Amino acid sequence: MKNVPDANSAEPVGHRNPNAVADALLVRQTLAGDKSAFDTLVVRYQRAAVAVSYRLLGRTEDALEVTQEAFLRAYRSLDSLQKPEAFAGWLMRIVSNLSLNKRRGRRDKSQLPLDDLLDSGDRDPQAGGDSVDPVRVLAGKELGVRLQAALASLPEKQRLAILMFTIEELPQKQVAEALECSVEAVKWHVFQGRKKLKAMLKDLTDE
Amino acid sequence: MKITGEQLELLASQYADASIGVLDRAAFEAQLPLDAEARLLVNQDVRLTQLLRDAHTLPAIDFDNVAARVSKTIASEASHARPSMRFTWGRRLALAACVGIAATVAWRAGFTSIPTDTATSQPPAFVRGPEAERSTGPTLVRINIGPSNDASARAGLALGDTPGARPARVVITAADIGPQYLYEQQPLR
Repeated sequence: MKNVPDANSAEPVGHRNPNAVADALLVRQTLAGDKSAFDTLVVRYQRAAVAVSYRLLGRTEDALEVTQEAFLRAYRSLDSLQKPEAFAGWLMRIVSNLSLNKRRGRRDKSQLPLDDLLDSGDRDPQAGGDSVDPVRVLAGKELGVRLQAALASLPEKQRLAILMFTIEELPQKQVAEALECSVEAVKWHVFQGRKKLKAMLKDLTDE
Repeated sequence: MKITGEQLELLASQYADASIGVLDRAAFEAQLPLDAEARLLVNQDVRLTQLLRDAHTLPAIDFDNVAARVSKTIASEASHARPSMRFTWGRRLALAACVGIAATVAWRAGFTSIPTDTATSQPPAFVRGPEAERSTGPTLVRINIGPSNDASARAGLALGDTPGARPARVVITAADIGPQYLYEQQPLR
């Protein structure tokens, strides 16, 4: 887990974004005309942006499209960012807003597209999903569908908090900036969301 | 530390996702070996986290390619202007639309507005308020205030002896000139 508490700190590491200072510098350099500084920000946050969008939209192409649009919008309105050190949270807010808007624009809002979920093809090698047992693959697909449906049933803030903090392991401060709320509120959203998920998936969590 | 109910659930949840505060963590870890319910809750939360992360693995994505695409798009943006100074076609169109709307509104307003030069133009309407009703009767009314001439005579009062013998006030009203107050000395009988 990335969110391992720091034993010497009064608060868990998960509260802070270790890149915040560097982000602020990169934002200022970009505003001063150094485009390569923004490229560094893209490389640093593209995976998180794609991941959050993908988990909201369930379709790789849509997630990539939203990510590109989000970076473009961030670049265009970078001078409106009041706290350059909060770039990551601000970017995640753009990503989640664009993703949710795209999802609302779909005809059937209740169902996530399952093409990526049911695709047994390539997965992120970081996840280590190398199973070839068809029964296991099928069970995994069914489980994935069920988890997606459970997540989709949560209120928006709870869903986003769990996606960004629990699944994507973004720092709580960054999630708070993305959701435009306090760190305490993020903790509360995560807790409430987890409670509901545990109730919906009781047979799985009790195993 | 003895905690129950939702507080325990909250601590277990935060312990499982490592967002628990350092002090709470120490206290919770001390309680764990003694509290079966707390252990069960932590296990459920750990399992839930694993399920969520395992089920949401990303497809294989060539992030070098993604970064290159984004960089190329932004480079074409940057070639026009810096982020804070850019004046895109979209903004130009929006500005042109605003100017067009403003001009249309001003043009239309020019046909319908009231002229401001009131000295040479006709007023838009005449409004006449209520007027006092003119009298059609006699123009002179006499009102006597005070004792009548007979009463004064019976009392044997002379003019000016008592207030009751003072001359009657006469109010004369005329339709054209309004009320006037005159004092008329009545002859004693």
